[in-house]
Amino acid sequence: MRRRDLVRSAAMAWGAAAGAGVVRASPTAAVPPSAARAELLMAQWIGGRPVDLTGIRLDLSELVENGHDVPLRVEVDSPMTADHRVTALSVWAPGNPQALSLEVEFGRFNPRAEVAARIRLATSQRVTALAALSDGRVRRADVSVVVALAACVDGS
Amino acid sequence: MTTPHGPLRVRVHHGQPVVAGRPLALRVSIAHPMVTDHQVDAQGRRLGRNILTRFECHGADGLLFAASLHPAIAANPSLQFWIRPHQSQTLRLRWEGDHGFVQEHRYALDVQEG
Repeated sequence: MRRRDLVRSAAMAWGAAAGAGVVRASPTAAVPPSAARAELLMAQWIGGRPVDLTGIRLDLSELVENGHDVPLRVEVDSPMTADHRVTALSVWAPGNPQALSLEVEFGRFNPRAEVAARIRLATSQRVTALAALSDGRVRRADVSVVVALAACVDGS
Repeated sequence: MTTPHGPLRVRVHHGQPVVAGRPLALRVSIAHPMVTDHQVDAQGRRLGRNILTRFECHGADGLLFAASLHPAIAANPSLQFWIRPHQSQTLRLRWEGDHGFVQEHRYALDVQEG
């Protein structure tokens, strides 16, 4: 019982910290101030390199019931050879208090440029994956996710 | 430094058989709460941030995979990634976190000749 209360209060607090829009995922909801900052941080990560919107897939459910545990997978087309490979990959959730969620470094020994993880989403938002290639290009994929945090709407 | 209660539970999953030279998906998870800055207890007190910040997988070839973890990573962090093992080896899985947390877990990977 205490544990359930703890989990619920944690859920409420985490969602509330990211501002409005936790319960009602309205397209007219104000853009959280963190989103603009996130765009700046992503631009820094890209570092002026050319960006392709192809050759990368961000698998993420577009409707998420529990924002505390959201499975995602990022997959980049790459032969992963010494000369042509993905060197790094990042996942961004601009609607979260801190946008940068995961950064991966691939080495010479990864046969596929792919990673799967589970993240938290504080509110409905557009999640972005960026992949840096050894040829100096960046690939980008975006998925808009609607989050319904059941823990906050049961009224108890 | 690990927790006062000893090392956290680690799980490693992959398909079988593991064949030399073939890509292998490894899924590695650890039982860590990943407490963010914003979580509070039942009395409304802030719990204080306590997250894992880094994961590394080392094998016979050296560093095979590394990830920086942030507060948005869900509790009990789980990562799946691909390696290409060429021989049986001991994988060294290493996590670092807040307050000097370090845990290492060794996993014996049996690899069959292709």
